[in-house]
Amino acid sequence: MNRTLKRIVSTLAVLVLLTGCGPNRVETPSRFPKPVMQPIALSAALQVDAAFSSYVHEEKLPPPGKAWKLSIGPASVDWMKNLLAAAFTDFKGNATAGADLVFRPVIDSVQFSTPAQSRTEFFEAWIKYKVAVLDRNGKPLAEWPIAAYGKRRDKSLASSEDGMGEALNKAMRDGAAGLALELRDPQRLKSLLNAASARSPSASVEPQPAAGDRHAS
Amino acid sequence: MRRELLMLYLGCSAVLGGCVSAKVEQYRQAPTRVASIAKGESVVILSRGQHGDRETETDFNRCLANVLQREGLPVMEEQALVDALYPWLEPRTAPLNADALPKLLDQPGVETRIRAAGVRYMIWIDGQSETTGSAGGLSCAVGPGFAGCFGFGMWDKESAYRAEVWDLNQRSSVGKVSSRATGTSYVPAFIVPIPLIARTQSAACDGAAEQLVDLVRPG
Repeated sequence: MNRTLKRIVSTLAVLVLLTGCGPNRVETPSRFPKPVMQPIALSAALQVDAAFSSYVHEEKLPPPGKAWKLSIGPASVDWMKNLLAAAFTDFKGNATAGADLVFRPVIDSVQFSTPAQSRTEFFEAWIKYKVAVLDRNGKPLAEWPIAAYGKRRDKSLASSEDGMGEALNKAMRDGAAGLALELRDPQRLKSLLNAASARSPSASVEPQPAAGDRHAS
Repeated sequence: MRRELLMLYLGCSAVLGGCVSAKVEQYRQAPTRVASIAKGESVVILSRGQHGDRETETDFNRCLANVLQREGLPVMEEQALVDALYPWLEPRTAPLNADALPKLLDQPGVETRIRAAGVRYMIWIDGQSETTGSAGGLSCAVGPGFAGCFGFGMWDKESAYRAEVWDLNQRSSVGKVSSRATGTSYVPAFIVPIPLIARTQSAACDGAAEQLVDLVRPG
């Protein structure tokens, strides 16, 4: 009995030590409010591959830094769906067939820094997206680079994982702001809409009342 | 002997405590007649997030909000408005000056949500507290039956903040307020360290809040 107890205790001690040696794992929080956008009377879809939707950034910092494993893909899919659903009257999710516009994002690179590295009070995260815009035939119309940045002060945080998660969430909100600006830019949008409407005579390019206004009326 | 030492220590601390100081400079630029906030209207305190290396501390904004609320000004929570107007108040999209305010308000749906939230004034805060210099040092030791610190440390701190108030009804800036506090903190240690902290952030907050309340005092 005494021997068994010793074995259990030593196994637990080894497990505790191994846990301490593991990387800091961060699952980016998917907290994105409903965007205030003027929906455009077009159908749109989001085409993501497995590399995007399950994107994980792994990096080992120089000693005494630890290894980090940042899950970026799932929350990136969430913010893009959330924004496109508000930006177009007919958002088809990942059903690209028949969509006037298809958005195909990729993650180009991810960087981060911790307060210990930067000697500041902030966790910081940079995500470089590239969003390709295709017409209903899969022909590229545009490619928008979106460099997203977020930071979170390290004070009053439960853990460094929380701090990095919040910085990544802020970076994704910044990415959403970047994509919203691209969709708002009249000149750029006009050329896109013209290209799309030329291929889809039924598609109207008239903007619709904003989501907030529709609810208010 | 121990009692005498303790008395000497407390006496030194009291003298040094008198050296802790905070200097507040206030600046206000506002027209003489600003529309007072009406019943049902509120203000929101927003931080500038465009700077990569700094950001106003949430403590400072919370301090301002507490003072304004004590003076009868309803304060809406910052994150609630940022979420309500998502993504148009993110660091990338938020207007940097009052000239850009009409563009934000003309964004479809934005003014509707601001009206629904009852926000009349946006107060943009920029600035932070930082240590500008330090001197001295402390060393602590632990041994069998003994533990203690010895030495003397001091540092200078500066808290500098600027606030700009935008009237969302008038779509323009109605005034600017700045508050700057400097002070020196001391930590004398003879066995037990006693920190004598100059609360510069709190002083700057009180200075800025006083001016802000005066600017948009409830009618």
